[in-house]
Amino acid sequence: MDITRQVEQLLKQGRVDIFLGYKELYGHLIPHGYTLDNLEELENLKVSQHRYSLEKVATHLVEKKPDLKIGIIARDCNQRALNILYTWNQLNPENIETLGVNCCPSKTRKHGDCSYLEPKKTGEFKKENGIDFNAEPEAFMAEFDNPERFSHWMYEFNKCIKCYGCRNVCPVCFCPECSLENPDLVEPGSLPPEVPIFHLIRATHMAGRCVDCGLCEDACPAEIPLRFLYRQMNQIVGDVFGYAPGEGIEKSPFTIIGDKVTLEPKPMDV
Amino acid sequence: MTNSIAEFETDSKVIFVIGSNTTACHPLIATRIIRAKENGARLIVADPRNIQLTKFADLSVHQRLGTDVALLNGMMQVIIKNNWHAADYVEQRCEEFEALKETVASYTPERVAAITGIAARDIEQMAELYATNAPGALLYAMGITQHTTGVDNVKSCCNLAMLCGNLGIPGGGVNPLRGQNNVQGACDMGGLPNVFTGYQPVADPEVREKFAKAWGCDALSDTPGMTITDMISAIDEGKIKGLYIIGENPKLSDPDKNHLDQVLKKLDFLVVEDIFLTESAQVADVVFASAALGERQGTFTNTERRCMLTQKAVEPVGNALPDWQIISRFATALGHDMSYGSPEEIFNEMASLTKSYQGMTYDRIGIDGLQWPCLSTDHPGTPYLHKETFTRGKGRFHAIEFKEPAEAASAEYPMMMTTGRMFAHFHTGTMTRVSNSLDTEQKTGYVDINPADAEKLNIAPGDMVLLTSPRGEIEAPARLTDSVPPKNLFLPIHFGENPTNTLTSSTAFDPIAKIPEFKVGAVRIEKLIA
Repeated sequence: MDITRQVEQLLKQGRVDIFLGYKELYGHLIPHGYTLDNLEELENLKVSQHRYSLEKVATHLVEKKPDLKIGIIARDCNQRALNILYTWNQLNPENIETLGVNCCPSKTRKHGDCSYLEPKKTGEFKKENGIDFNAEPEAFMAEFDNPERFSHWMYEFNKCIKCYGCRNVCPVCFCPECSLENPDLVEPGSLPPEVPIFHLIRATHMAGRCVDCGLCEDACPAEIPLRFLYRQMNQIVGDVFGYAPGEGIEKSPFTIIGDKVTLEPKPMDV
Repeated sequence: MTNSIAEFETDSKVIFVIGSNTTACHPLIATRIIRAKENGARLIVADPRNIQLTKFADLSVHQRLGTDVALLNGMMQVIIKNNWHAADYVEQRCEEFEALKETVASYTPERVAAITGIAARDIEQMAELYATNAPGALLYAMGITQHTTGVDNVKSCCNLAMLCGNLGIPGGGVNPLRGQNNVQGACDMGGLPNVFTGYQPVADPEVREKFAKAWGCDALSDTPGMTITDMISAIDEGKIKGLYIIGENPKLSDPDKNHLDQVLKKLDFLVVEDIFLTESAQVADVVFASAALGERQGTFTNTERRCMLTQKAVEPVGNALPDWQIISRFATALGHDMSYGSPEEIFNEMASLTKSYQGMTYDRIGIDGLQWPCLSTDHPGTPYLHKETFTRGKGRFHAIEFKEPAEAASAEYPMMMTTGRMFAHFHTGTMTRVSNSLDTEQKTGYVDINPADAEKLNIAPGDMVLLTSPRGEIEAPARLTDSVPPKNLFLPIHFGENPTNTLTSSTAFDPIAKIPEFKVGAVRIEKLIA
């Protein structure tokens, strides 16, 4: 059954109140909510390489209507993000229906249909002064010593125009008060923002949360290799806690306040 | 812009940014510049301040405020002297080269260094970088235009681009970055004192006849209207009794606020039409609430001449109406029956009377828009202008001598002030200061001062200071930063509680364009004792 009919069925059977997918408008795909009230629009439902954090839209809808039943087009990255949102009680899995679509090649899927199938190209000046989008972390660590790595990261961070696009598109950024906007942590009002603290705060907050969907890097107008940064962060989380964010819905090692840690900490290599 | 934004990334071999704090004021264009740089293009930045973009430049220089003509003449002197100019292009497509050559000949690097404060070697390098890496795009913003020599500055930019054959090719061009999403569109619609739509002069009898016929009236005035600068004087002199302001907030955007406030009181009647109750709307006799973006349909034409459609998503709040409906009702109340069924109908009328838009329809514009000139319904639009020939035929060089800005530092006013935008707010803050997120970023006005000056005056970060110019005084907290050179100050223009336009002069303006010299003024700064 094609996806349009599946969505129609979900809506008609009352299994979801709204279905979050994409709608084609003048050749562009934009996020769109389909409901029983606009069933005729379902003919415009399309799936392509375009991606958006539809699950983040779902969290905003649930803020207003906690019992809303929501259907979502889900690639693997959406599914991982949903798992994080379930873990952190931002969405109730009982109220969410997903329809899987083709995705980046992974353990579970051979066929792919995502913007990441075409790797980003890195110019020579950026390779020299900043960081190659496609660099292997091990090679980067081996090639440069600490001060050099710092200088390469500072080149990248200094391009930041503080648009908050990385945070705003991030499916797993949901804090009601954002540390990036706390004047005690980051001095407001200047460009670039206070570096490297602005980016490092966000990086630490990605620990145990980032599902490596790469939407932040897609959104970044300054070409900062955020995916590289957050992957490195979660490498540590994996090494120390044996935790891979989004793989399941077990408790996160970071939900420690008032909770019993369910994962054994491992010693960090020094 | 003569060229397109995307070309900076795809075609330009060198990008020369002068008088534009691009990352703060045109961030998406800054993205293109940074991508171009990372992919191998060269970048030159000339700005009195040490702006963010300078971190990525092959060469960045800080010219003394108001010395752009000298700097550009100096570059041209070096280029001509070394034969780096596009001689064939100049010969075939331009005129009055000899006059230019003669004038710029005296602008040696040493002389220009003395005027601008830029090292002679840097001027030579800038010239070489720009001239020997074609195609080269020249980008500027208000740092070029808001001067008593604004027109001279723009002409000098054009001189430089033509000299190197950079007009009429992809990746080249003279590219003014428009300060608002629809400045170009407002000009295109005839929102200027001397033209109808698409820059058709009111002085041209054929043009007047065309519009009179289309609008079903006997005759249209052949006299250009007034610029806003002229209007303020005319109100002062009692020649204007009533003023109708649409989408502008002169109480914060026009110079010499104290004088302006007195002048506005002389009006018998003031109408302000805006989406929020601006400082100007607060003193109006009548306020028309207009619908905002997303509450109405229409088009914007952006800095690269791209006309784009915006759709209505929600109903206007309260009794707000789209501007076109307010104007139609107002005209009808005045006795002229003006009625349109939709913005599309108005667009079609405009397109039928305007060559550069005549191939555009709402359907064709779609989401991606069309760049004028778009001459027929199968014309793809025009990514860059002046391909075969210039509008007037040959490109004319203007030999221009450097003139000092209107004000210089003195014993009474020893600091030089420049004003502009900061990244978190937009213009007079009408739209941005109502945003919680942007308020978190910047809550009040401020003054940027070099740490060396601050130390001399015993000013610590956050200290309140008093700023005084011959026009008046304001208070603001100090920010210590190396982004301004010693003896210079920068003030943002967005904040009604620290109105920078109290300090700026209304008598220093460009004689042709009438644009005030917001970028240069002399002031005094003193620490306020709490």
